[in-house]
Amino acid sequence: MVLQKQSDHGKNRALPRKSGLWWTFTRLLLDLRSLIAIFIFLFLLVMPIAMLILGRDVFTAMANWQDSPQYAEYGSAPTNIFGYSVHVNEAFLPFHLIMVALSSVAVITLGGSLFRPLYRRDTVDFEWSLPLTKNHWFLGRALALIAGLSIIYLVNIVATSGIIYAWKLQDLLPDYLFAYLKAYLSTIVFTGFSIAIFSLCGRLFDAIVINVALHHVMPFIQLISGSMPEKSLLREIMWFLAPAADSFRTIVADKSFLHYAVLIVFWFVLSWFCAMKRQAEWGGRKTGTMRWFVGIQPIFSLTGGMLGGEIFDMFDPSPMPWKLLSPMFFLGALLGAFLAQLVSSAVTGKTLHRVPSDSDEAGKAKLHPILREWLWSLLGIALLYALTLFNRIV
Amino acid sequence: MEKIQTVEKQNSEQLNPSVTMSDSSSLANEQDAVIVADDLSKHFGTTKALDKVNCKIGGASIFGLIGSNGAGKSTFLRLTAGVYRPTEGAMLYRGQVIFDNPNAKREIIFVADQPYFHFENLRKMSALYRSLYETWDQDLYQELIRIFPIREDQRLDLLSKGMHRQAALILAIAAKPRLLLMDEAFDGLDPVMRQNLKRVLARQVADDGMTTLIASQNLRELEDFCDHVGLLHEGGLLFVEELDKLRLGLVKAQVAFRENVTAEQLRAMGLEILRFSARGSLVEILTRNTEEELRTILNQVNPLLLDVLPLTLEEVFIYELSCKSYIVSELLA
Repeated sequence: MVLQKQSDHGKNRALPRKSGLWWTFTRLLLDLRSLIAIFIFLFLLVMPIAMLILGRDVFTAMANWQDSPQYAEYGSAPTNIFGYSVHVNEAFLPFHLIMVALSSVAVITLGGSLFRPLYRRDTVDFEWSLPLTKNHWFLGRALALIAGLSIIYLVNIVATSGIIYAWKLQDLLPDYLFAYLKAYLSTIVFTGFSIAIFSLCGRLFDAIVINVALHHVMPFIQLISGSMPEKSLLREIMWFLAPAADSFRTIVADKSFLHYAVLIVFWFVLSWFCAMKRQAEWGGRKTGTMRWFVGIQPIFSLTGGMLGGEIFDMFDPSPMPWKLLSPMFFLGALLGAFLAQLVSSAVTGKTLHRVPSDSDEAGKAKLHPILREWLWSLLGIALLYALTLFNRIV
Repeated sequence: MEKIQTVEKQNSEQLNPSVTMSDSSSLANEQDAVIVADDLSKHFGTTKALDKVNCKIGGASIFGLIGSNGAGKSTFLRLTAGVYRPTEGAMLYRGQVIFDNPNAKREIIFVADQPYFHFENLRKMSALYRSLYETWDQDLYQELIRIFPIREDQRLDLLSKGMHRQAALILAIAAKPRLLLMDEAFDGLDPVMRQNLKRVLARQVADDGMTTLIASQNLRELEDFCDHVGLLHEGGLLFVEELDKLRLGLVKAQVAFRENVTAEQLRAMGLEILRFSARGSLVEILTRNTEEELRTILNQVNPLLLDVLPLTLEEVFIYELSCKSYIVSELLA
């Protein structure tokens, strides 16, 4: 085979290059197009199509101009993002709640698809060797995710508004639009939070499990910790750490535009920081256990402890005035915390047998992993008692 | 054309995994170096994949990086491709830091040991490369898909390992990088495709001045192809040398003498013998003399047979490194 020398090097050259950020953004958004189309359909299904299936008469019957009873729980009428009082019609509530739940699924699904390349050896080699920066990749991914969600939300509200106008119920719409906008902003907050988790985790599986688990853990703690006041700093911190769960409150919660703006900036700056710190060698890890995970594990043992304690306390024949002093509660909390610790270790691939490392010095005593799991469970229990005590004092 | 040099260290005579070997006769200008590894280290936790590696690789050359599994070859390539950030030291391309620098990376393409294709066929992949690399040459691409028989619309995920590698090489070469990095480039390629690849690469080096850095465990793959070789072992660069210079320094001959001739006799005649092994009437001699000197000396004893044999890269390494007290079988797979 004779190889002919290229004599026309100037011809058939590459297309003029776009900026790196534009390239990554458009490329990643195009990659998402099928998922975006699927979620547009699902959103349409749970809101405008569901409304059409119910029909105008049922929807009108659901419409109620009274303030929702939930508003009273929060002590004030909800306001729009500019601080004006609004009266969102209850007719939207079931559609809205399903839509918010679907938003969280959309964030995790679209985010998982976009961030999957971070966890594979071959894709990391490919992406990081291209003439692009880490900033390009981070911003491209974040913007593609936001753009995808924005398209989904936009198509949904346009279709919903069309139906409302066709039914000549347009008076219901303006106030709901503010709740819808809050749901959208809350979804963007959750997007920033999720990107931080995606950037920190060693495997996609762990990122999704931690994302989902944190969002189940936080409201759960709130539900079962009856001693916690309705409005407390601790409760707000818990909602803060579970933005997807918090987004369910958007239709009734009294949150200003500034609240969402601050959260969006905070989570995106944090996720940017995590993405910049992420190293290529994390791709292709066999286990998802990272150093930082040890820091959040007590949250899982705290929840497990709380659940175990509450269950055991139900069987206590002589309940104590303060259940934390009850031996039954303590026993349940101990078992629950240990189980939660083991489960959270297992899902992230942490082993329970000794793994010698190169840094181990000869003869250096090292805690057995099971003993270490017990100690971390006890830390969860200590956290549970400290938090409860703190709540009582405050 | 001298392209490679190692940085002079304090004790260059004594080989050590953390210290490179120096050859003052092959020192090139700082400006000529395309790649400069300056006290380059990469640690993964407590594991030192590369430890204080110093080397310079010049342009328009084919550099073979050899070493056993875990020697640090892939890590070195990933540092050169800008995939990894060095733990210590610096990896420079034409004086620029490579990591997170699109200007440097625009001229570098890395073909990993497991090539990744973002799209399902070559047509879409070529469009992706075309949009990223200004140097993309569509004519060369068309020529390459004729040489490596892959259809543009063929599903890449259904191809064999060798075909995968061919597809990755087509894309990489057609982008006409100034620096091409290949990890186990010949892995999975059949002999015909290996030869085709070698020819294409040699042409690109000669015509476009492309520099090629190939990591491999297989010395035989590289010996007829590279002009420079470096040996990595346990994270240190043990040896960097121009291949021709290595070969010129050693000569192997097969001789049949009329009478019994000992190594001592030949040494006394001026032959610098490294190995003298007799198998029946045939004697194999490895010397540090030139071929001309060898023939002159041996003809004095009027041999029945005198054949000068080609030296394999492996043999060159064995003798060069055994002089430095390294057991080569432990260094190479």
